[in-house]
Amino acid sequence: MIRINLLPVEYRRGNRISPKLLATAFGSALAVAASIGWFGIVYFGELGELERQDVAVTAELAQKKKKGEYYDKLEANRLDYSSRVQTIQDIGRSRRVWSKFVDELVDVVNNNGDAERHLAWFDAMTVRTDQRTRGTQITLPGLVQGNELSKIANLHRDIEAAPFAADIASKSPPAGKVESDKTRVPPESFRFQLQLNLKPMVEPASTTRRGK
Amino acid sequence: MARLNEKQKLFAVGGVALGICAVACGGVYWAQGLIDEMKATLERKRQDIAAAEAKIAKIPATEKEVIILRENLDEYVKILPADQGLNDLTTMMNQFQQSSGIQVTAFTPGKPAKAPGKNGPKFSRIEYQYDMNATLWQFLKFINSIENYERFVSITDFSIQHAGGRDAETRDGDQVHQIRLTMETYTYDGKSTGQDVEIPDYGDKKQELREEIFKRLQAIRIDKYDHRGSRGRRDIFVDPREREGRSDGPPIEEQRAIMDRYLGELQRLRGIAQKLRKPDLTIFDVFTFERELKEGIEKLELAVNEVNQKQQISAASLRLRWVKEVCEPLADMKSTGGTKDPRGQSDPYLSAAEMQQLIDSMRQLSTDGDLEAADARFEAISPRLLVPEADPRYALAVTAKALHVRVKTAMEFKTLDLKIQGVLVNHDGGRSGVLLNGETYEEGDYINDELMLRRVEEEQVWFVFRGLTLIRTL
Repeated sequence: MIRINLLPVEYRRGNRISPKLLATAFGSALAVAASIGWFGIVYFGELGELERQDVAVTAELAQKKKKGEYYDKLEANRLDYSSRVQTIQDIGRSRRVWSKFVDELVDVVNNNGDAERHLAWFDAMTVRTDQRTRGTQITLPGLVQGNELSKIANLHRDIEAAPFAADIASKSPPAGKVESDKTRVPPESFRFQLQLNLKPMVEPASTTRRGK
Repeated sequence: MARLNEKQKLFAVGGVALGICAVACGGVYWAQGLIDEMKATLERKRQDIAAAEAKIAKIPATEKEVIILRENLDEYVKILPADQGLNDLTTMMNQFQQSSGIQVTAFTPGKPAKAPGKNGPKFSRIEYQYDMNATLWQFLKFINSIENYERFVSITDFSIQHAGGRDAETRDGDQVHQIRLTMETYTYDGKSTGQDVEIPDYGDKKQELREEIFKRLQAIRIDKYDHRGSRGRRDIFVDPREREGRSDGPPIEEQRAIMDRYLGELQRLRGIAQKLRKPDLTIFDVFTFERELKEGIEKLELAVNEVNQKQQISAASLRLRWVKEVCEPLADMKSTGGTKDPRGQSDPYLSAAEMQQLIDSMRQLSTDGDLEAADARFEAISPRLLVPEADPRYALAVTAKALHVRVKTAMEFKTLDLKIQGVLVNHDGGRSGVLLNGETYEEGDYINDELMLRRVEEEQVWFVFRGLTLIRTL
């Protein structure tokens, strides 16, 4: 039997878009929109924001870098000058002011003119500084008037109480030998050899390194 | 599309959509990579900013430090120069030799110092050896000059050899010794990293830091010592015992007597200085004591110098006492003037009460006719009357000065040659007259440009001299 379908073309079942296809198309459109949207958000939103931040940060960095470079130059200047100051201080600490030392030694030996306690004098004075340790050795061959050993002891006591005594690392013990010079009044005297070893003004470099 | 069946269409639509989604996801993945990279870059830049900010925060302190160091650089260069500058050093040594009086016999450079290693000190040593003959005091003055020199010089070794014997050379009464000395100076080897950076507003900042700059300059200065000569001490390299049968200078008893005499005089001056410190003194007492003390110090100083020149105190046991008990206290008294003004030194002028006291005493002395004493009182303290106009004591100072002008005028009037040989007093209201230096003058007549006859009485004649009325009695 022949069936005649008189419905317009668009109403005929065979020519309609199927709901499946429609749903698929809709779903696909949605997925495409979502993925493109996501890309848009990531690319233009997040990345764009970061690029804007980058521009600002770059500008800020350029400005601060300039000041930072100024600081670097300042610091270089400071190190130059400080290095010289440090060197001066290093050398300065290693020096003993000998005019002061000898002046103080003269005071001790003169003992305010009190010849009763001791009346000493020296034939020579030799000062040697060890270049490595910077310690100093002083040799003073001398005499004390009279024949009383106690006067040598008094001289040693006064040296031990002198302003420079703190710098003495070691000292020869009191000792002496009686001498007589008939051309002098009184003729008797005690000859002695005084040796003073002074501490180094600064710790020797090699010792410091070993200590570290 | 019409040729595709439904299944094919479904696949086509789905496939295209899937493809687009895949591309979009790929794009997201790629963008995420860019984002990560950008974040890392940003993080780095932020770290750089933080580092720069940390540096920027240090700029004020570093600028301050650099300004202080730079301003003191000249001083550092003097102490530790970068160049050897040995010609200048040698010239300076020569000046020290001359000022100290040592006699140099050799000045030789020592062994050249090894160049410092990479991690060694940033300075090189230059060594010199001196051979000289000098007295102990000359030697001490010489090494003191070296040690106080602006360039850093260190004395490392020295030896003093007593050149004894009866005929040993002497200078200024002191024996000469043989001396050998080794000294070192230094040059800076540190390399500069660049030019001085330009600091904005340098002048203003320097001005703000001037105290700190000065303080730091003091701190960098190396140890110095002020050697003050022998001060009566004996040379410790000379046998102080007297030679048998020979003594230097006057006998010891005489030296003791000289010493006692000067100690007594010094004690008298101390007594005057003591009186000066009493708080209840009048300004005129102060003047008298000050003058007495000043004259006493000057006189004693002359006498002490004479004793020193003649070396009258030569005994070793007395020389130190002489310096410590006579010379130094006298010098001290001279430097302080022996005066201790109880009012302190903040106000250089007389107080109002003292000015009034001066005015009253000048008036009293003028009335008593002791014009010289009145003048002397004013002259003695006139520098303390120079008060500024704004000072409330100004009026009193002006009064005292005006009084002094009158005293001086009266003193000059006294010296005028006025011989009054007779007077004619007219009681009837007419003008009286006087026979003066052989000539007659009537009241109101001018004797000269400065002197006018004002009134004539039986017992006295009134004159006007430089505007001041003065009376001569007959």
